[in-house]
Amino acid sequence: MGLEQGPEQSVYARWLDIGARLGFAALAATFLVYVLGLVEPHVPREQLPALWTLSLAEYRARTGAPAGWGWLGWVGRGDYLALAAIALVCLTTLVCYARVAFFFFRRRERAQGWLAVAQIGVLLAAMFAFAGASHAAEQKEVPDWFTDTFLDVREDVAEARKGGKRVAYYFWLDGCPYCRRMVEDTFSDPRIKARLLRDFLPVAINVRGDREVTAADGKAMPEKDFTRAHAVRGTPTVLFFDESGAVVRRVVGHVPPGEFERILDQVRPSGDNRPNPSRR
Amino acid sequence: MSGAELGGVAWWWWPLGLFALSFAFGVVAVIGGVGGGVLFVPLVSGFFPFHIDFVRGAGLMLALSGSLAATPSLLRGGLASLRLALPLALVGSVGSIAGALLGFALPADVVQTALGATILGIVVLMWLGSKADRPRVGRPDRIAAALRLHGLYHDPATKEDVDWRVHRTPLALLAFAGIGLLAGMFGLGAGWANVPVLNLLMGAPLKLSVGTSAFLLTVIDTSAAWIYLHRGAILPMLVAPTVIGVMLGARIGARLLRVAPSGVVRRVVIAILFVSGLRALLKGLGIWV
Repeated sequence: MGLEQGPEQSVYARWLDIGARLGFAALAATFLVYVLGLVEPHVPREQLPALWTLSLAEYRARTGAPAGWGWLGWVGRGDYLALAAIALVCLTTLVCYARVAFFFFRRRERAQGWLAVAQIGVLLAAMFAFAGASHAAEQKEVPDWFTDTFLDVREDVAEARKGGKRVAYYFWLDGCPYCRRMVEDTFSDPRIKARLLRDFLPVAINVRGDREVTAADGKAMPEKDFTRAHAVRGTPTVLFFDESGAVVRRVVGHVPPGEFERILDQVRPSGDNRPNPSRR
Repeated sequence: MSGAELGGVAWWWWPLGLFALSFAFGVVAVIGGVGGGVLFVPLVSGFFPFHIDFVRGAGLMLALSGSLAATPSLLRGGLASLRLALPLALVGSVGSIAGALLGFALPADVVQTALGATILGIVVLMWLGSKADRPRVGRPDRIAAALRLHGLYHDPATKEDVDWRVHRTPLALLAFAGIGLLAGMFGLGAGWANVPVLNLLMGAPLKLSVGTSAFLLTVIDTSAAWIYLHRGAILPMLVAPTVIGVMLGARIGARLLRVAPSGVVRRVVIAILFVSGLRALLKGLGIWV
């Protein structure tokens, strides 16, 4: 038995014990529900081995997994039900601190009480403030209106040609500040978005990614090798392909919207005499 | 092995394999005197096809779960001090949030390389293995005195009441900011760093340091875990079998502790850490992909 340990320590231990037991029981039960397929998951279990090799950004792009507190709306699906149990485990510490802060103030131990309150503030910041910030930052890696294709250059070129468009491959890197600027500054410009969607098939390639890309010569390779094969040495880079599958223009680095629009004018599909919406 | 090759294996092999592996980690970690997370993250990220983002998330949950399970009895027995942990946990959790955000902002290979370097650093720390059962502490510093960072616990092994106090609190706060950063960035439990700082720097008795370290992990890892959870880096299919496996393994490990040759196991753990740290480093540098 502990000596000279304040009673707050026993209170904390009791609450932690109950919280942890509840959390682990919920985790075991919901995982069983999930793994046995009793509740349909959002991501089919058999697809997971092909998805968990991807980076988080790619995984989210492929599965449409929500960020921030968005998962709360999905707890009706097996995988997110189990995630809710994991969140319950993570909540335990916050509840214990709230209980013990009250205890400290009641015993007039203000310094300890304020330390506990500050800790609660940090935990709440992690739960709410940074959840939103990280979501916003991650969403900007690749615009969600880019086209999700099978990454076969021949198919992409044919698909684009059918719609009177050309293919624009955007090579990006997770965490690259210039890529973020390209997305925030240039791709988020409504005129650029409209032009890219009207005249081009925009497709994102992660320069360190492992998704399989089939090059114009029919050779399959991971994204990182496709990047090397096209001599992309910096990010962001945009390669524009013509109707025959040849690269007609290489744009390296962050380019402001005005300049990027001029480039789009130069590389848009030939014979296109549709009015340019930005010049009206 | 690439993810594509392994993608052909039926999905249920993966949670089953992770459960078995984590069970073994649980047994070995207890006997070897390390946290499961420090073994799990470099080994699984180095030799399994999962992306390091998800491995870090699972490692963090593993460390958090182990400490949540152990802390109540440590607190009750006086072998962990809430009072001592309060200021350190606060600084450590700010560090762990920063570390988690930094880990997601950096490219995966940079994180992998830094992880490898950190693990190799831990190997050196473990190899040197210096510790003091009951360090001598001079006059407590102002913070320690103001926050009453002292106490008394009963050591059932020696049947003694141990009076403890600490010093060098400002330095320890600085150290915990760094420890939190590493814990949040790599998803490692940080017992390997908590214990030396509490024991050698602050002068807390070894047993109290080990117990308080477990308590600290519940707070520091929880803070980072929310960032991982909201980012989507916590995959229940990886986390649940890992957590359940380690917790069951740790129970067996605790029973075997009396009879197992802990010195040998500890050397095996150091060897595993060395290989997995080296693998993480070389993978991150693109030398052994």
